[in-house]
Amino acid sequence: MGPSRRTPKPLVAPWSAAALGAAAALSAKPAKAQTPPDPTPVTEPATAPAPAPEAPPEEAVVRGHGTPPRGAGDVPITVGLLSQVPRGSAGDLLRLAPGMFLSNGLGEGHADQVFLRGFDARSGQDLEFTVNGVPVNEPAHPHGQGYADTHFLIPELVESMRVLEGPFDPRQGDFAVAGSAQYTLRMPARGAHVQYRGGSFNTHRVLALWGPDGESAGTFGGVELGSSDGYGQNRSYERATANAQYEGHSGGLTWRVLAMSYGIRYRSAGVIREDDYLAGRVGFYDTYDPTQGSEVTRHLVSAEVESTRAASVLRAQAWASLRSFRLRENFTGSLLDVQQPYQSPHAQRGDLIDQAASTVDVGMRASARLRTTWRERPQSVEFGAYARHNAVDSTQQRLRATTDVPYLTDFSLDNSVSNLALYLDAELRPLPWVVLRGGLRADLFQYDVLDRCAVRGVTVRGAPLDQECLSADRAGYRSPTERRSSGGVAWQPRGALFVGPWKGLTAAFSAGLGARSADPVYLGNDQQLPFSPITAIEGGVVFERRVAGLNVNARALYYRTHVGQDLIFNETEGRNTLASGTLRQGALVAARASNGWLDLSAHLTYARATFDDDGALVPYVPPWVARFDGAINRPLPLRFRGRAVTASAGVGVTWVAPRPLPYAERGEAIFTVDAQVSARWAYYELGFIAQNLLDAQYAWGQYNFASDFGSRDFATLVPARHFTPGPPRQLFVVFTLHLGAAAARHGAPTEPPR
Amino acid sequence: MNRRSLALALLFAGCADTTGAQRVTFAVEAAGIERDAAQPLSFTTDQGWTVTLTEARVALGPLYLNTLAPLEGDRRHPLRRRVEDFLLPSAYADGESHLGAGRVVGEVTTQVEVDALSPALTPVAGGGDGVAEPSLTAEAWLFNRDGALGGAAVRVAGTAHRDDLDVAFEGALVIDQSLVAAGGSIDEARKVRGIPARLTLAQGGVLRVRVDPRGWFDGADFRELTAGTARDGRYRFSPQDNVGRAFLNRARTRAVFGVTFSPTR
Repeated sequence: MGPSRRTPKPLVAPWSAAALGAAAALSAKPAKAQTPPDPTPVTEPATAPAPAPEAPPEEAVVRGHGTPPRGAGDVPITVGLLSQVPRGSAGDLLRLAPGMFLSNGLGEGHADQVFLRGFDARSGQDLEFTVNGVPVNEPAHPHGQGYADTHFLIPELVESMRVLEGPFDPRQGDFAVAGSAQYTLRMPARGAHVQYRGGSFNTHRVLALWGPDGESAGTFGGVELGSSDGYGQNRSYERATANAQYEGHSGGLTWRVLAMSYGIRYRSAGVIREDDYLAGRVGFYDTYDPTQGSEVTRHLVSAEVESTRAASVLRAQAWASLRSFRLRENFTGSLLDVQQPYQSPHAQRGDLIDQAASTVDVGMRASARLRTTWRERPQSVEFGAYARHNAVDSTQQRLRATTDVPYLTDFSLDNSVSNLALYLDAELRPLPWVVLRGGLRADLFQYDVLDRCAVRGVTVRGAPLDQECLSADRAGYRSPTERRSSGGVAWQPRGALFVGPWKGLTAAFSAGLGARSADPVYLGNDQQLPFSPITAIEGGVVFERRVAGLNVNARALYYRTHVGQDLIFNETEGRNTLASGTLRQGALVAARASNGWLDLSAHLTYARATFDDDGALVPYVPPWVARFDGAINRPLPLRFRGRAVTASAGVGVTWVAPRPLPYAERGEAIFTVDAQVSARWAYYELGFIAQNLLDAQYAWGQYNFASDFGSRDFATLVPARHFTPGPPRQLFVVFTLHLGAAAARHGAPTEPPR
Repeated sequence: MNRRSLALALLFAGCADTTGAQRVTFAVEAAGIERDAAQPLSFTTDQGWTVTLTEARVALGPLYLNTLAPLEGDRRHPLRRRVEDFLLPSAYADGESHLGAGRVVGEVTTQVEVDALSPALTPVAGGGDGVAEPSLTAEAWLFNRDGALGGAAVRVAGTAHRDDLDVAFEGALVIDQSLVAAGGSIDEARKVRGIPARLTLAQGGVLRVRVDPRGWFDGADFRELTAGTARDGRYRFSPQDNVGRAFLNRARTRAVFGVTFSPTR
């Protein structure tokens, strides 16, 4: 292999039309973190040398690149050329992680339903999300503890992710049950980029990104406006997003100020009964209840400072966030409003759930990593702290069908939820081919919940009918409110052992305990352990080497995770509710190979999830998930006015095996293909996107439960198959105008023509 | 199937594991009681009237199978009941009565007109749905129906004989607001609850419902009808007379309906 093959030729221009992030990774100016120019990162070998004593500031700040792995399932993902594969959101980027499958059949702004390693993290509660270090999961959220909505991210600004599957790093916090997904926003493609996307279902999206020349890739600004009528009925949306960050450097000091703002209003079609669809009573993409939908806002600021010296790295970060949330969903039609003895006679009034929350979220994290050398091998230890407080005013009511008038309060809570954590993490290299990483984390979860409707759903002698929040019980008068408080510490040792590499092959073994904070809705007063304990182990091998001109990163592993008290979807509540303990185990294989112009990624995961009490399968968890992403980018043998034309293409293929459903059934498999092609000349780029290219008609979500949407002559009360349809084929055209110094050089000959 | 394909099949089938009870569909058949169809249906009421029916039609449906226990009453000796209730009092949770909402494990959501004089089972279009879990009771609903029932839920005609008196009669059960108790719902007037149905549904089986009209006129004294005027030789009973009142109550009792299930057709 000649030197020219070992040192890939740097790519010179941004090519991606629809995903400017790819351009960023490939073409950016020479910040040190972006070299080598190959878009696919090679995970830091387990026994790789420690960072140089005077690590460049940029290298230290890139999360996901600079964090040593904690297991075979710890995957740093640079989006790179694979941004050519069509994706609808920042959440979609997670499909690059092994075993990850996302669906979202409940509306454009609804948090993605995430499936990972046998977990149905319905709205994210089993996966810890962070964005540039700021936590995303929302404790005490009325739609589910740990609700994680990542739609406030502009996907083109996501440079990389670190997906750590399993709780094996002491820095992982609350909700890291199936693992963590850490987004890093940066914009290596300097200059200004203005993009319009339009197409199917009257969809329009305008995006403007700005990364001033002369500033680091961590300084950027982006705004996005989008709207669509949506496919089928009642799936329209309008949204606006702004993401901006300033990053400054001075010697070994780096500081960042991040600001984000986001708002969306979207309609939701909800579920469809399969028998109604098969009988022709409703269409595949129809809705029963057009009043379903949501309004969400999020405003966030974060400040971070980092000091990198020869023997230490100090970090401190603080953030504050304001959020509002309202969601109306109806899974069961008119089924649950049965006549109660404390109600005046009534017919079914409808099961439309109205959830609302107003949240103030403040927090901080700080750490100090001390580095030394022992036996000529680098060793380090880190002390860290994390604190977060969420004040959440949450309610859930039932609304009368078609009128939106509330008739019943399910809960009304004033939540104060605090999480304070301390951790110790060490990296030890006792032998040249052995690395130990791990430590201990302790999380204190503290709750103070004022239940404003503590007495409801009971019959009190002498009480008037139709009183929701009673001021009496069987013992006589009482206040309608009740306060519940609780707290407890979760001790969580975590560690990983790496042996190797030999010819690129490293064996990795990980084990750890984790915790998921309790849902305040189910919190008892003075509950001793307000969290669900998690126990996880993992073993596997990772192969990282350059093979035949490709950077190859492959892994195979076995995992096993036990959850002490799980949360499973409950259609009557429209959210996940308490269930017994569960066990997941399975295996995965994944590989990514790339060079400067080709990028291929594939993974296959098997998961088996069972309940502790009866051994039954956990419903909704797909046993098999497979995903392929491929992208290519090449200059065409075509020049116009002396500038080369470059072309790129990307394809993504998803296959999900039939999922177990309640009542001993299996759902339908999912198979979709997404594709994109684009061409760029100088400042201009034109692309075409086809999502669900084969126009497969499939169900994103499949359920078995009882519902009554009035589609039969008489009430139906037994479980039936329901589904939320995935989108049909959607076609878009994308036009991008690139401005700035980098754009001015795009396609220009490196040498003047003779 | 060779060993490898068997292993693959098991693997893809999730090792044949399950998430719980199975969802099932089943056929439904309805008819009157089993008897010799060549003979008229005659029976004697508790008032000594020998009644021979010439018409007995019921608009039956929907029908639900529930996990609720049947309303069998308390058959214990009063003294024993007092002692046992004193030693082991029943517990009632907040918001519950001794008959909670239960859980529906099977349903037939169509209406069918049953000729209660015909013992021949006729299939109910659409069949039924449910889950393979034990049920204890059935709940039948009676809705008014046009056609042969003429806007009634139950229609009946026949003759009643006692001593030397023959009374030809006809009448109907019409579910309307006149049957609704103060503060109640018309749905309560439609329901016939607590029909014994100790069965477990299975895929492909058949649910059989038989309507027994022999108790419809218990407590009725047909002599009162003769004080009125016969039309076409028949006296028509109504809720204002004792025959009509007895019929309104007796036609909506659980004893009228028999529900069985056969796992195979």
